[in-house]
Amino acid sequence: MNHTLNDPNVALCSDHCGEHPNVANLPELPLSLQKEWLELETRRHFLGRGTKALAWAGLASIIGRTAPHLLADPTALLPQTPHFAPKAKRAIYLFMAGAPSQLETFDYKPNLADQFNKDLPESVRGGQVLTGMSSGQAHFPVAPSFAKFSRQGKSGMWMSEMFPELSKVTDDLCIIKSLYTEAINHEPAILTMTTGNMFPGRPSVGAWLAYGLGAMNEELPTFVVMTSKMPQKQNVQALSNRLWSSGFLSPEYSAVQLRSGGEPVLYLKDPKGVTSDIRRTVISGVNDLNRQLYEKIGDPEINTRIAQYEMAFRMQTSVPELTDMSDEPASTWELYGPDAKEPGTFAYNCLMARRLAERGVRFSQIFLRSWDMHGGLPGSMRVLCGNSDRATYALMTDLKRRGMLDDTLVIWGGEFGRTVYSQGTLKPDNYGRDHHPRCFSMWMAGGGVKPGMSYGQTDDFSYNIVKDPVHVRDLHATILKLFGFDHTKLTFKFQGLEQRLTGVLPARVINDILV
Amino acid sequence: MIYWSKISLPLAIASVCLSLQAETASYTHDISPVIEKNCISCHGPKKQKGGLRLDSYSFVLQGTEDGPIVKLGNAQDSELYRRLTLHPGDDDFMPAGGKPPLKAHEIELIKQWIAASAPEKLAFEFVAVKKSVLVAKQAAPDYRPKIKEASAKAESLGVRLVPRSSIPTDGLVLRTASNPKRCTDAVIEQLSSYSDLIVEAELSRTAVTSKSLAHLSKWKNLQLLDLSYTHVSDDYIDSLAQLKDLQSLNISGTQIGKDGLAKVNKLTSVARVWAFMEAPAGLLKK
Ligand code: HEC
Repeated sequence: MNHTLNDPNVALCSDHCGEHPNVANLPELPLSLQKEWLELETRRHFLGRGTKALAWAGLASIIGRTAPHLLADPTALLPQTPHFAPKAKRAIYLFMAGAPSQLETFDYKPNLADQFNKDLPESVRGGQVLTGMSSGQAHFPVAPSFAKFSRQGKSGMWMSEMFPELSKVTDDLCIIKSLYTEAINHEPAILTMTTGNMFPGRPSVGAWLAYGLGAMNEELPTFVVMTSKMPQKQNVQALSNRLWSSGFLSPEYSAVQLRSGGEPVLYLKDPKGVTSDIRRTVISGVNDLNRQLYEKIGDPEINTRIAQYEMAFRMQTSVPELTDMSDEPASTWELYGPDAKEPGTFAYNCLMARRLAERGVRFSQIFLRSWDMHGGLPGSMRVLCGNSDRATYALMTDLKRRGMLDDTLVIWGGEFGRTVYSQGTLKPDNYGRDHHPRCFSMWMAGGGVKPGMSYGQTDDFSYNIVKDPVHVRDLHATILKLFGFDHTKLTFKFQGLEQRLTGVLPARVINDILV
Repeated sequence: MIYWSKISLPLAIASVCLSLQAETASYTHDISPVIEKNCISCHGPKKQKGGLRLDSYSFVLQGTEDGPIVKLGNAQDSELYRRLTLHPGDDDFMPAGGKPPLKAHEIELIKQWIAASAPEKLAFEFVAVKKSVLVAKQAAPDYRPKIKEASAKAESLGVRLVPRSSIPTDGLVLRTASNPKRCTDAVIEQLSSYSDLIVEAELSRTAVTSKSLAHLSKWKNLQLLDLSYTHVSDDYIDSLAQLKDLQSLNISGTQIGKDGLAKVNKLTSVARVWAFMEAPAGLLKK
């Protein structure tokens, strides 16, 4: 091992690049020593890989600021400070993957009732290229929403009967009806929503915030992701850690995934027979070695690794405390309902998000899938909304009554909208809707967003935006603004560019929806 | 404007105005002892006369196969209440079997309980929103000369002082989330020398008590004070009146009782007060 440390070339090889040293490139050795060397080699290799695995598992999203004595260069991980006083200290993003239809949820179109089964006027579609899933259709029959709407709250906003619980907090919502994106298929569209770009490899919004703001709680990750058990195994989109990665930012800013089954965070428990003291000693030893290595070659990635080891160690205590919900009072369970007791349900994840927010985690993103309703939309919509409505309401109410909604931004939405025309056979109570990037609805609440208002407007068919369009970039610029950042100035130099979440195309902060 | 916000969860939370405090009943505190004494012999684990069990909150709400016996919010239409208020000679009168009728105040309690949507436990929520928009304040003196020293001091005490933004007059935030329990009254006292720089004190779940209020009330530039889930009580709560710039105050889950709340309610500058309490001590005492 000493050999490896003394030789800079070999040291670089060990994890970063090139070939591992092996017995064959060493001078002749006695067989017993060769065996020992091989054993050591495997262990060393395992440790090297092990840390990578940890990083991949996301054990990484660190602490914006690590105790200086842990780091060779203490400024390396100092958090940036927001440009101006933030309104939001944390966010909870309820990501409805698969793209919920705006027509049954937030974009009420009463006039469509008379249009049932009539062809969507060509002038509305305007020659738009459709997906292969419906482009072959001879007709594009208008499918009015099966769901009824009514005015709710003092604001009198139109709310869907799909959300009877959420309707009770209508006056806290800011509904944006005029979002649009370029992407017409899920993966690029979800990537656009989560990272601002339809190509993989960019940092997720949560990673940018972790990078920009640092941690409030150094015992927990800054950015956490949870996926939810699906109420029905249909219309499912794949999710991957591309959506919550740190891209070209340091891996410590990528999300830690809290899992619903087994251990909440992988590889956190001490192996059998290893006490916490032993673990501590091992980590300290490894970190000492890493510090020596850093002094030698100065690769900042080494500091990241040191910090990750420390983080993992701290999470051994902070995660069990976080996930033990036995301290929740009866009123919590009454609010969230019985589903919240079952790990991995959307309700459980919402409650977990509140616990994370309470403990100072900056960005929690909960994915709920199966919104991709190309057919059988009414039935699936009832299931999905039924599954998520109460929990969403509960989360809002919980944050509100604990005084946290003022500085916690809640975001709800999918990756694009759905077509007003039916994909496949249309019946009043059964139809499908294809992907529609030209307009969709989302809502935000708390964290400095104006409550009880709607923003933007689509045409009578919810097909084109007629007022106040909001590109995904504009949404991202607005989110950054709420956290105290000028989106043009939160940058990271990579590939010769001052990279930013909103990219190089113009983006606009939607000032009208800010308090 | 001040309002007490009412949560419309039927079974969960009765939101109690201060003026209502003594009248609102909950299943656990008030109703279950009455049922226990008078009804369980026929509607309990052993016997379920008429297909009815009354030995838990959920059984009571469940009713019988024919439907619920409690209509939330409406005692007159609730079978449970009707049965208790019949003439004792009536066939339907409960408790049956010639057992002594419930006392008038017990029946009244059940009536009020149903009227308040039959909560299991009482939690209560007090939100005072006086101004919907918080006023941006020119906060504090320039933090640059002292920030190094202040944050080193905080660090040595196990807490953090971080700039709210890059604008040097935006002040510092006292942040304790990494290890709230390390933040004690002694820590607050020691940080007082930097108090003019501190505009937000995030003290949720820390070990601070009312003793700290005496110090905190001199942190004259405080705009946000989060004391939720601490052991802060009514003592010294009125000293917060000295904080002229205080806009947000969270005292949820503290020991603050009725008297303390009344005092909090008099703090004129505070735009937002949150006090979400589980069955607050002192408030429900009969
Ligand atoms: C001595 C036994 C006995 C006791 C004690 C008793 N009950 Fe009953 N209860 C019955 C019987 C028998 C029936 C079914 C016949 C009927 O519906 O009247 C019944 C029925 C009821 C029903 C109607 C259920 C339905 O079908 O809707 C209610 C409500 C009820 N009891 C409430 C009470 C309450 C409240 C008490 C205590 C204050 C109580 N009972 C005490 C024997 C009893």
